[in-house]
Amino acid sequence: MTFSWWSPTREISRSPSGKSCSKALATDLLAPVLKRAFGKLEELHDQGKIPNTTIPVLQNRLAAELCICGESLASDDPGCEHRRTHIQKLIDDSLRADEIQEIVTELYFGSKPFESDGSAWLDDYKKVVERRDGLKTLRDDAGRKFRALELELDSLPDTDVQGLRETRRQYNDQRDRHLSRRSSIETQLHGLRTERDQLKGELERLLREQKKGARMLAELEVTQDVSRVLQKAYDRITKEELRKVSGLMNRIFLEMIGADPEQGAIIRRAEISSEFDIKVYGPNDRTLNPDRDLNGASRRALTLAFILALTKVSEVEAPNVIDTPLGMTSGFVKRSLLKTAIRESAQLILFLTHDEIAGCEEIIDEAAGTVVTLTNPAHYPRMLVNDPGVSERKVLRCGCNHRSECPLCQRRADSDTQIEMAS
Amino acid sequence: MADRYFNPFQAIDIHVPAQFHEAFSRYSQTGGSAVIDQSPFPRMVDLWFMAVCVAARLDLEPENISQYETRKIIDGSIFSSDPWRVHALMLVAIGRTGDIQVVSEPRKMMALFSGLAVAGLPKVLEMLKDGDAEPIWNLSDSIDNLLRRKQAA
Repeated sequence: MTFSWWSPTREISRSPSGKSCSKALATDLLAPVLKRAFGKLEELHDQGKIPNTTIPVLQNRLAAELCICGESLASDDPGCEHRRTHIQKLIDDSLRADEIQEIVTELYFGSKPFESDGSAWLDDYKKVVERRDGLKTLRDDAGRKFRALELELDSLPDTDVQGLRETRRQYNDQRDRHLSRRSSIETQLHGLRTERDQLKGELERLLREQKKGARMLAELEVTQDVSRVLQKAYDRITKEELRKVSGLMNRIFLEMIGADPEQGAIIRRAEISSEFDIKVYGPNDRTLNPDRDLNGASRRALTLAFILALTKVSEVEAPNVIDTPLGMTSGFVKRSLLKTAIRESAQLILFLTHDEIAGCEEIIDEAAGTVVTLTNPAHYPRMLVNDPGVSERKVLRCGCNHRSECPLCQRRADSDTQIEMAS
Repeated sequence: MADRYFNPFQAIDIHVPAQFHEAFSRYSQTGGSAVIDQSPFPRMVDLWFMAVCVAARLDLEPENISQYETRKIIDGSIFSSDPWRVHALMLVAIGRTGDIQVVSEPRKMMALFSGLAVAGLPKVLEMLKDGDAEPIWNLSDSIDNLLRRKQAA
């Protein structure tokens, strides 16, 4: 550490008081002698000789052409000439005597900065010494560390330092490459993470679509399965069941109507077409129109034959409930129809009128398990003999069979009914 | 700025005894080492001024420089750029002579200063060498002791 006390041109060190260090030092060193000099100057000041104002005042009066005492100093007035000459002489005398006084005046005011208690430099130097000592301590510490390092270096085995430096350089290069590589990989990783996030979003979207697609596919498969089942069922119906029903219907129908194709019956056979139309054929496979070419009994027999065949082929064990199946039939056809229906049914429930029952009583006697009579009270008095005594509309049941009657179900004879109608 | 100040030593050369010239070269950076620790004074005039201050401080009697073979180190115009030193020197002259009139006699003042410088130079050189440290610290410590000793007194 160095510092400059002495040069005014190198005032790199300024004291807190603002003085340069060299000036502060001079002030402190010269303090005793300066004190004596200031004493002399103060004496002059006390005597009024400092500051020097005499000459400027006189020159001012001459310029103003008016004396301090009030007399005129006009230059164009001959009467004032002697006063002007006198004042000018005073100025000249003062100029010679005041040369010293002028120097002293400047010195008096210019030397004010030298007034001090004589310790400015000491204070500054104390701070510098403290800094120097602090730096010396640091330097000593550094020196000790340096010596310790040198000792440590001396204790190292005699190895190829240059080789070790080369190895260190290689390791440093390797480290730098790895750091560069790491930075590159981190950049790639960042990019991959971003891409992963995007792909994750895309995956979630595709999974949702896949789930939706799977659901639709399952529905499609179910639909296709159902379609296949239905198609197979349809195929079976159209190819197998239809043929079975058609054949059975034909057999039952012909049996009901007592037609024997071998004996030249008009109705030769009946079948169900692939379009599910019931067709009836006559001789030479001539097609008969059921509505036009068949009587009511045959049409009724054809209908029952189809129903019985359908029930039979379907192998459904269920009762056949038929309302007035023997209408428009009579004689052999009626009885054959009833017998066939009884034989081809697992359980047969028939709603028969008295006219339908007529002529078939012994068949019913033989086949019927339970026979009851249902009476409509609204038929009184036209068809019922006795008043059922029921005002509301309902069917009345009694235990009468096809051969018996009671007051509830007793009906008028058909002839009586016709008379009433005639009357 | 320097022109604004009155320098009565403008036309006066500053001389020192030739026997001290080597010391001036050694301890001034313009004549010797550029290292401030070894050469604390930037210029020879700074060492000269230091010698005047020390002599004044110690109340040493000025030597009669006329009995020495002298060499000029610089002329007095150096103080034109350094007006505070002009004031300091003039105050020293007044303080030492007790005569205000001395300020009108630059050569008389310079003779006084030169005598004080010759008287103070051996002391300053002793200060520079007195110690185990570099000259600047030897000198600083000596001045520190000098100021403190006088303060205590």
